[in-house]
Amino acid sequence: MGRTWLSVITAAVLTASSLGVFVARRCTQGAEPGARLGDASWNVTLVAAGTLGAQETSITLVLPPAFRHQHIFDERFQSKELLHRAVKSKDPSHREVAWKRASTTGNQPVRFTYSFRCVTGVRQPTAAMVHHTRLIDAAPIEDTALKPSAGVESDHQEILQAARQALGTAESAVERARALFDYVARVENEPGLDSPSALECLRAGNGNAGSKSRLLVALCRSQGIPARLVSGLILAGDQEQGLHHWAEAWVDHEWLPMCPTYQHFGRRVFPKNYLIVTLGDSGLFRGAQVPLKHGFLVQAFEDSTAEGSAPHSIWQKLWWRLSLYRLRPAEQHVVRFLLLLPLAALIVSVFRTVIGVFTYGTFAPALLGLAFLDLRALHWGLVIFVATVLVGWAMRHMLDRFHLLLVPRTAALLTLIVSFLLILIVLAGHYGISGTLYISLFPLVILTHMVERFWTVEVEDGAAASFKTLLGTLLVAVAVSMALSPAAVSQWMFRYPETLGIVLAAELLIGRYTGYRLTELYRFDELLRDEDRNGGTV
Amino acid sequence: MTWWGRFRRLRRLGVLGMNRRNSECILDLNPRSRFPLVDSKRRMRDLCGAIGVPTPQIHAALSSHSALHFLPGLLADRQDFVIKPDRGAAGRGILVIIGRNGKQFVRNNGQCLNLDDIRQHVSGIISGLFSLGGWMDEALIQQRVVPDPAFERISFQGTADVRVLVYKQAPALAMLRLPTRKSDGRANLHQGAVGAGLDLVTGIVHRAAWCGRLTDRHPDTGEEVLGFQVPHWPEILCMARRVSEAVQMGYLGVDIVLDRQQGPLLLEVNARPGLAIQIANGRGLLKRFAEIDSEV
Repeated sequence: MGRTWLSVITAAVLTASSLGVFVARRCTQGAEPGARLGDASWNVTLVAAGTLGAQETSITLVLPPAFRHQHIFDERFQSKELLHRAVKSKDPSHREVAWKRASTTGNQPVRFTYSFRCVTGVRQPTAAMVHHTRLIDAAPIEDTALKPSAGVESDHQEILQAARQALGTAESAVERARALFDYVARVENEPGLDSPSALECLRAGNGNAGSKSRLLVALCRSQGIPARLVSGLILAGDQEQGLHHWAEAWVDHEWLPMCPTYQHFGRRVFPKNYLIVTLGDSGLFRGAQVPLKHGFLVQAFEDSTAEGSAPHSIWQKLWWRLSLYRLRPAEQHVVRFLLLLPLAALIVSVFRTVIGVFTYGTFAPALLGLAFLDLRALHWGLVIFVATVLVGWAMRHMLDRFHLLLVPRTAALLTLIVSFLLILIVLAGHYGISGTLYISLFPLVILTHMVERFWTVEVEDGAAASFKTLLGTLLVAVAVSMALSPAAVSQWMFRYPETLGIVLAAELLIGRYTGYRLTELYRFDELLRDEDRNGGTV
Repeated sequence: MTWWGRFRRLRRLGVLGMNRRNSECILDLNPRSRFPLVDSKRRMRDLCGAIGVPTPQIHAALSSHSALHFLPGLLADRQDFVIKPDRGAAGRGILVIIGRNGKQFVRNNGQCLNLDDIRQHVSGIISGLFSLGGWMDEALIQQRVVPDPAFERISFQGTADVRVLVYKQAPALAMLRLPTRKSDGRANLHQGAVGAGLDLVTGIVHRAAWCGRLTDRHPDTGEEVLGFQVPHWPEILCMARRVSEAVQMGYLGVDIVLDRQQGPLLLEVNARPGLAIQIANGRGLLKRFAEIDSEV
């Protein structure tokens, strides 16, 4: 009894202190000290669709750089018809992805999505971001930022004339840039789908963001001011949009942003919600003859707190200091997974001790459940898992003929299972079935061990027993995966890591549970029936 | 019947459940430090030798793969023997050879094995395929116990044994475990052996259960099991008591076989004995524990 009381009291203390921390956090508004990475977080999805001609094999997509105060993470690529591969570039700040077609048969309609999350106004840029900033914002080495280019006819007489006229008496570099900017800003905004070149814009006296920015770049270049075209997104609300364009000029040893469409000039007043996607004239896609239809969907990311971002009270500063949100995104990902592990283990404890389900391995079902969770497609996970175990078991029977020693035999089994999965992946790819791409997430070594155990149990205790245990394993894995799949669970644990104290308390209490397991209520049926027969004590 | 109803009735009957067995019997009464002794059949043999309890003879112990080449020599002139893992659990990995057929070895279920098959099996044992926790293990070549003729009628292709569950050095419940076709000659209840509850005073079978259900006959031989008198009963009880005193564990399953010539032999000791003995006897262990506690 002493030990049980000790467990109960410890559990009570743990629960009380966890609740204490939780309540204190809530009362001092420190529940979400997070998302203070920057000003705001956004979820951006690019959807592009078009038709690839018979000669075209790939499309190159330019990815937004993570630099200055914009952080890009959690990038996902999806397409049924195309495979994506990162393009290696000498310049690490220039990121591209090549979409290649899987089959080469004539014209093919294609569609792909690229989504990422970003934080703007990052206060503490990572080392990589600082490095990229240094590369991208370096002084223009060659005169690429001065030469005329497609749509930027900076050597044309009319452009030169307009520039000279616009400059007037401006002398310093900033004043000259400002004068040119003002000139273009006065050009009428004419939202249109196709963007004419700088010259056409000048002649027409109106243009959309793209052509006005090109005109500004052309004017700057004509006057010897290095300038470049910038394309990106204005992050706001939940809306669909196309690329916006503006320009940057190299003035006083830094790139000066200018948006002639909405009339923002200079870094100080430039809006913080401009996200740079591409720099220069290259455009978003390369390699497709027929332009792709595309659009961006911008959504505010749920744990963003755009207003009141700075911690106010001492308490909030304390919570902020202790908060997991302070971690870098990659670390946050690891922490989120780690926080789910104790919960998964708790669920396994309940199944084993209170319900009495038998499984292969103690925590193997927990890991399996978390793998299912990562798949985001439970049915696929189940199918692949059961197929692998059964095929592995058949292979194990084959291997038995060779009479191999334990460790080499297990290694051989692992090799066979991997081969099976490879065949599965190739076949699935051939028939265009998605979902198998995630096989790599499976804990293969655990799977191999499970096959070995399945075989041993089958040989010794019969097929019924081995399938029963397999079913138990699946049951627990599915329960873990379903219980932990709502995003709110992970979010909660991340926000209130003190919950671990309550998890620990629950584990202590289950550890001292000496009552019957649910399955035992039926195991001793014969004893109960005895009592019924005798109508009294046994 | 509701779950809660079943729960309360089981508790009233004093049935010991798995959780309670693990925490209050094994964790509290069986010190962890004594487990290696009990789990190793070889060390148990040495201990029994010291306290004068007879055990089956161990002819040889093979502890490495390199020792496998001694195997043909060791088996050359043996007609019958048993190969088992030193630290096996639940009767796993036990190979009983009852005779020779030329170069082949005949198993208790009639199957014929080559020397190669036996070498494979021994290698599996050494690699830890059958041992608790999958650690490296030793393979023992042991004397085959020739069962007392009294058991022939009521067991199928195997050796019946007596399991005495000892609580704090006092026998709490006992049962006779009879191999069946389903259990493949093994005497483990969860593998399909018959569990026959024994009267502690007389050693007479008073009740028998097979696969969780009551029975009064052996499922394969059809012979009546109820009323069977286990020979050498007082000796068996005495052995169980002495072994549990020597092992110093409070919750112990002592397995004893009856050899035709040598009488009762201690086969092995189990520090995690199962709960099916309650079904075989129709009695809850907790009630017996309470009785023993009040006597002490």
